[in-house]
Amino acid sequence: MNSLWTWFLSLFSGPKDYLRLRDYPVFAKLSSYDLYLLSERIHERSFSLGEVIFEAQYPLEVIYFIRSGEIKLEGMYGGSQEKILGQMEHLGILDMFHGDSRTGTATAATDVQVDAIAKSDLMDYIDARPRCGLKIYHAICQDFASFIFGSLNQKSDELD
Amino acid sequence: MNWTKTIFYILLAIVIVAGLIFYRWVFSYLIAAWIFSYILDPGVTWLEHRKIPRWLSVLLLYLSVIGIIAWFTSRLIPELMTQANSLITILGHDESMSGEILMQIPFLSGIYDFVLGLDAQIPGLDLGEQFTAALDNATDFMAKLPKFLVDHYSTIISAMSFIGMIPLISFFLLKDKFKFRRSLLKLSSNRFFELSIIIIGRIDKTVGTYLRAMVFEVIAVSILATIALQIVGVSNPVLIGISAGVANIIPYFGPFFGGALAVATVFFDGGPFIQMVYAALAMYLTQVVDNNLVYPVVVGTTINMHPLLVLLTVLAGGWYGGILWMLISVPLVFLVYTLITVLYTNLKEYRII
Repeated sequence: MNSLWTWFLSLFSGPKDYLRLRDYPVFAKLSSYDLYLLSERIHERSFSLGEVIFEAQYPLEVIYFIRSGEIKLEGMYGGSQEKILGQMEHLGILDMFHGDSRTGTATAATDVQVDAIAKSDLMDYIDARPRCGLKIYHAICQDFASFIFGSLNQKSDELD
Repeated sequence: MNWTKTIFYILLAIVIVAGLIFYRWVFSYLIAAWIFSYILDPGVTWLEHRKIPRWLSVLLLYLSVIGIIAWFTSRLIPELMTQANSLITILGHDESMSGEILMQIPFLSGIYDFVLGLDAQIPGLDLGEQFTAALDNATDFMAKLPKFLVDHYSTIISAMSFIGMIPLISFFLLKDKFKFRRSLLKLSSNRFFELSIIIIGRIDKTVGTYLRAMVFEVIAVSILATIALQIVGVSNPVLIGISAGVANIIPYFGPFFGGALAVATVFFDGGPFIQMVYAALAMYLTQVVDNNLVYPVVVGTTINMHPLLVLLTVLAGGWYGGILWMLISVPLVFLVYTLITVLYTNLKEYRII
């Protein structure tokens, strides 16, 4: 009886594809409804191997979350560093807290599928839902912490 | 040259042109519905964030708007009709009204006596005759003005079917706002994706903010002017207040219209000179409150257009399509200018031009 009722309700609610957004660590703690509202602002894009996603000094307006495939990031932070980003990682959030333009160039290292959101849309979403914003910022801070400590460990390994 | 690609683009262009020709009659409906949806969008989004489905949020807002219109119609329309008739009588009399009737107004008869005195002292000056001729011209113009306004009101009423379609189209624009935006962005290639997202976002923000601010300002100025004119005892304050609110859409020159209408009403009503000063002062205070309180809070930034450009735009709008275009030409030029600026800046930043 219960499953019949669930099925009946599902006729009105439509497919819940948006729940997959929870796989991204940044959105992991958001509720289903929060994810639904977020999904309205997200654009699915595909890039072929070797295709440029953005170049250094381009305006920073879109944040990408990698759904599948790999992206090569070059010239980060004005240097010659190179990094490969994989599934469930993101591009643009670090730059978002730094300035208004990209610090590196991103190229598809394989065929890539991404979820993209405009920076202004994300900010509007956070403004309208501060509790979600707190959860998102918390996840971003965790991400930054692991990035900083990862870099420090790498440096100390190089010095040793 | 990739012939397949070229043929595809040619076919696509043909389909787009054919589509534009086929749907050309509904563009005005779409634009009006688009404006209406922009005004209601923050309300819909606010309700959606409170877990009310978008379609239901739209319906709830529609019910609220219908409620306000019903209240407005039942309470204010009869009063407005009375005031409109009274104003037409004051400003228009009938078309045969001559400058001689105006001479009965104490203020004007005083000036006329003074002019006649001058004529007596300076032979051949004939200022009195010229004064009467000028008054004849003025009354002729004033007599035609209400008829002109009434003619346009009847056109507006006959367009009720047009207005009836707007909420229906807006319903879908509001309900599926994000779906439409995603579909539009899907059409862009990867190279232009970020640029498209910026431009659509800016259009959304600029047009939305501006339109909502404009509507709010019209309402605010109408209410403020009505209260101010009521306090100083000018007749027909509601009608003059609403006219001033609508005219306020035109920067720099719009506010003068409201002030002039208020002063003219007192003048033709035979009121004393001091009441004309009070009427002008009331409209001035309305503008002070609007410019220093309402406008900075609601709009944030002013329309940064040179007064000369505003004047030329209003004149061009008037020549092109009458009063309606005089009202919408300045916002339209401002929006087009803003969009071109955004497009140019971003095309440069993305190294496309």
